Amino acid sequence: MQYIKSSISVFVTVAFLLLINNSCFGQNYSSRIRICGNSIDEKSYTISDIKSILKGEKSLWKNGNRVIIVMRFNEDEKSQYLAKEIYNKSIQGVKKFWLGLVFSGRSSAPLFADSNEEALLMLAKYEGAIGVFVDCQEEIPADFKVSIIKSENEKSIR
Amino acid sequence: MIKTILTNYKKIMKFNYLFLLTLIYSSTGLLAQGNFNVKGFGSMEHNLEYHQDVEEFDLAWQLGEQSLFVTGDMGNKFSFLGEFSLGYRGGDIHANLHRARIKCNYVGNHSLMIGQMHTPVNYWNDVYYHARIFFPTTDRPLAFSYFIPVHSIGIRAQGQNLGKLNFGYDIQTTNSLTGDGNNPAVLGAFHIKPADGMRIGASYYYSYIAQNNTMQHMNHGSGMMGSMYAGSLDYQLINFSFARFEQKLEILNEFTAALSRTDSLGAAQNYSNYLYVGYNIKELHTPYLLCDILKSSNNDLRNGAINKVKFGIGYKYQFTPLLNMKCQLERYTANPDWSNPAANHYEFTIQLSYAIY
Repeated sequence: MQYIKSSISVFVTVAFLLLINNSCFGQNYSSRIRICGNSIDEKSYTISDIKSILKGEKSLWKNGNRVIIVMRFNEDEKSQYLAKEIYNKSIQGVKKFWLGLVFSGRSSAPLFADSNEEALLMLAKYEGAIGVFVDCQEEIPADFKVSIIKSENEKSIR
Repeated sequence: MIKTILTNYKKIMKFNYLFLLTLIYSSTGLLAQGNFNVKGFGSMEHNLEYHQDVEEFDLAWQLGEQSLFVTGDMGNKFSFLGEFSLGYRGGDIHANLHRARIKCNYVGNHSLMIGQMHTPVNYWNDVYYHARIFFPTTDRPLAFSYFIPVHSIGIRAQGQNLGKLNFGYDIQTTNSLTGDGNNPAVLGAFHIKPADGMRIGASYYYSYIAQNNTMQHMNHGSGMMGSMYAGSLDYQLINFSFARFEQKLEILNEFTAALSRTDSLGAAQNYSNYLYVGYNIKELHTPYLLCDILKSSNNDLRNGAINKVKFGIGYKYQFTPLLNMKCQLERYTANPDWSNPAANHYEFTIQLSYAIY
């Protein structure tokens, strides 16, 4: 009887922790995409906030740093996945999107990297940089980790 | 002989000036502290015109504007943007400075800008600038030749992507439409972006022109009769823009009401409306339609009486996001009073436009 009680309490505790982990502590943007930041305002954002930032709709962090977008982006399948998940566009569509925004003078161009390692170096170099990685195997410093709160009731950053 | 040498010398100097600018801005050694970038864009086209009255074809290759686009950061809050172009018109090379402005992003998405900028009266002038690669059709709406103040020099407060509707505003005071600093022009513009790819905006522009003349910020083939009327006038512009660029459907509508008032002939009400509708097929192919109407009243002393309509069909093919080709067939019609005999004609244009990024 004691064994059953102990099992139930362990099960309830694990379930509770899992629930808390999902709702409060946040998680990655998706199973393949991870968001990181260097000296940005918060450690957690909603998906809509992240999409808005990565579309160049935020120019300055509250801490005074300029928003610098760093992306591992080229012509491969990972970039195709990123383009679809974040921008709902093709690779060509994302390039065209940024081209228009930069030439209109309303936003600065992102820093495009060919690999996750290169993107991580760029992220470390610039304060205010926010990076988006696909299938990242590299060790990411704890200071750079950004978690995603999958709650639509979260207060908007804007 | 001396005149020829002088002319050639001037042309060479214009090239050298731009070459020097390119060299300075692209030199990372000289400007290692800032994040400076040089980009470029341009176009080239072939035109075929058929004039009904003379029943003859005019064929011409044309080199469009070749522009350099320079951006640079000056710390977290300050940045510079410049745009310079070389164009070939009437056998001469023209160097132009389109934009040179310093921007201070003082808080959040709010900025102050000082310098020469594109006047954000409508979507087209605020988004496309001189880059033909972004133009949905081969050329600007007719209003740009008569009503729109393309550039202005002064100071602007700008906000963008504010709130859930992505509200944006531009408030500026600049030199007048004729470049007169003693009678500053004012502009208030706002827009919202309620969905991805959609922007709805409106603006009001006022300029008192002490002496009407052709010295203006248009410089895009204006047909104004400034030389005929040299008096003063009040000039107001009201614009409404609707733009929706989805993955498949593309719509752009630009409505302009240009109101001028003179002591002699009173208030003149002039209008124009440009409509573009395109449909993307697999992102690369975009067939489109356009309709552009412009009407200027008899008592308008800035432009004179104009009644011009342009219908067109076209096709855009995107080789890459940095290179596209447009083929456009259009028919211009004008009222019988129109003094220019070339006004009634058909035009076919093949345009190659590109960006160097």
